[in-house]
Amino acid sequence: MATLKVFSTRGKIHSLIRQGLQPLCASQQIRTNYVHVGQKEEKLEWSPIMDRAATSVFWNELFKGLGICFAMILKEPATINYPFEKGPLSPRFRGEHALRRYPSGEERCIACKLCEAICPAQAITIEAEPRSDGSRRTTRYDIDMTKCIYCGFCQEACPVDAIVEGPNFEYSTETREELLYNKEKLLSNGDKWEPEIAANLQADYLYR
Amino acid sequence: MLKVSENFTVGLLAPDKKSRLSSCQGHGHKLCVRFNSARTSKISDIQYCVDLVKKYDYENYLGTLLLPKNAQRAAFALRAFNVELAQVQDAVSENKIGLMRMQFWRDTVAKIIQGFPPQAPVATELAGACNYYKLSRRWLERMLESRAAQIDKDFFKSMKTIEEYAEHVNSSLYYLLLECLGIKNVHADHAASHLGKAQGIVTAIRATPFHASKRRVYLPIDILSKYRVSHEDIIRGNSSQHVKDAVFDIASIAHQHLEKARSLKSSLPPESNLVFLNASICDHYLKSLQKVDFNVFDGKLQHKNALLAYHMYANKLRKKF
Repeated sequence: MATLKVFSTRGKIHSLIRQGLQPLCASQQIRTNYVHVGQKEEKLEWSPIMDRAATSVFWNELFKGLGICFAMILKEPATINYPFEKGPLSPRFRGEHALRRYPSGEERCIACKLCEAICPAQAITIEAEPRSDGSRRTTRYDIDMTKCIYCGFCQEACPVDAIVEGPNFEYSTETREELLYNKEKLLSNGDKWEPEIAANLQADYLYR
Repeated sequence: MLKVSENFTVGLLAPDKKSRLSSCQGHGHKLCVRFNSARTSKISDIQYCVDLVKKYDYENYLGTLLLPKNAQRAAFALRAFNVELAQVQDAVSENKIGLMRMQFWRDTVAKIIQGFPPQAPVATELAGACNYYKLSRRWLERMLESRAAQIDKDFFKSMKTIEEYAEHVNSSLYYLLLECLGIKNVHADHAASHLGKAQGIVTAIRATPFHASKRRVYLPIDILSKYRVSHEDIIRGNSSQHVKDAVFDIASIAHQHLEKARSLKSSLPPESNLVFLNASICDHYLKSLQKVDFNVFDGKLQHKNALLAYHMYANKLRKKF
């Protein structure tokens, strides 16, 4: 019994000493939890050899691969059929420009030139003169789409919601000149995309 | 060419002359549009203003429909102007652009006074209303200037600043509507002042979830700090007791203003009730806020009140607000 006690106290003291010394000398750390990351050696006994032979004779891996192929056929495709289907667009998407009209057919733009002033790329050119009926409208409204950086400031600055960046993003052209939009082109864009442009947020009450 | 003021005057002074009644038209509402067909103000212009108010400010649209027919057109013009101004700050991503738009409206008001409004529906209708009713330029400019100043500040320091803002923005609109009805009464103005404040405070509370989704807080900072509520608490939609207490404090001030406006009822001229029917909107919101224990983020608060129109109509019949 006495011998047993001596043994057990020795163990305790030993562990105490180790714990006390550990912070002082780091070299005492012992690492045992290794993970083998290299290629495993193939076992050269009879049964593993037979297993490997059976795997290759019966094309196990080939069938596994075919199984994955079949599962993928049944799965919904990750891609869309682009020119016919289009991905989702945010209502705040800023695409091709358009000039809108009022429901009465009158064009909205009153040539205040705020869009021209705010445009950081200076892509907008406006000329205006009073019409015969006394209202001030643009005679020229050009946007150089090759200069435009699609920041949407023109849309934000417009006090009558005339110029907007619509949802259209497919307007590539063959020549550069076709991207210099004039007023007719912008107004026809507006007529074409009005339903999409008008379907924006509807508020139940004023937030301010 | 007839000038705008003449149109408005001709149309509204001669309602009995059937030859000049161009139409009594509307989509689901009866709005009498009386003027001859001159270019400067068209049916489509007033229709545009009505649609604008209906789309973005439905509750006040209902209230405006209960006004007397001869004041409705001007009321819609004023409400549409208010809608345009109110939307500026949410429509822009940079303060500078917002200030540019405000400058446009400032120029518009100046041009309306000179008699040459820009040919946009809201501007022409507002010009007609201004020239016919001789509306005070001061109130229009006060609505404009305080909204423009708010674009740069973007928060409310104390309850006092929020009351001041509400007074400038909402009460000015009520003063203008009272002018349209031809009411010049100090008690009516007093009630309008309190009602405007109540409405402004209710709007600030009510739009809290909307603004929080855009990482903005328009509750007064002094009350938030009194209850140790941080802006982040509001932005994250935290509905702890502290937030509820703060909302309760703010809502009770709105309630006081509402009650004060109502207490003046006995000294008001009878027809001014019609302008103040919109008090039902605040009243309903404050009551439903109380029902959900002042948790401003409760989904029930975002439901439309289907009975609001009937409630306001009943108030109109009972001659109260």
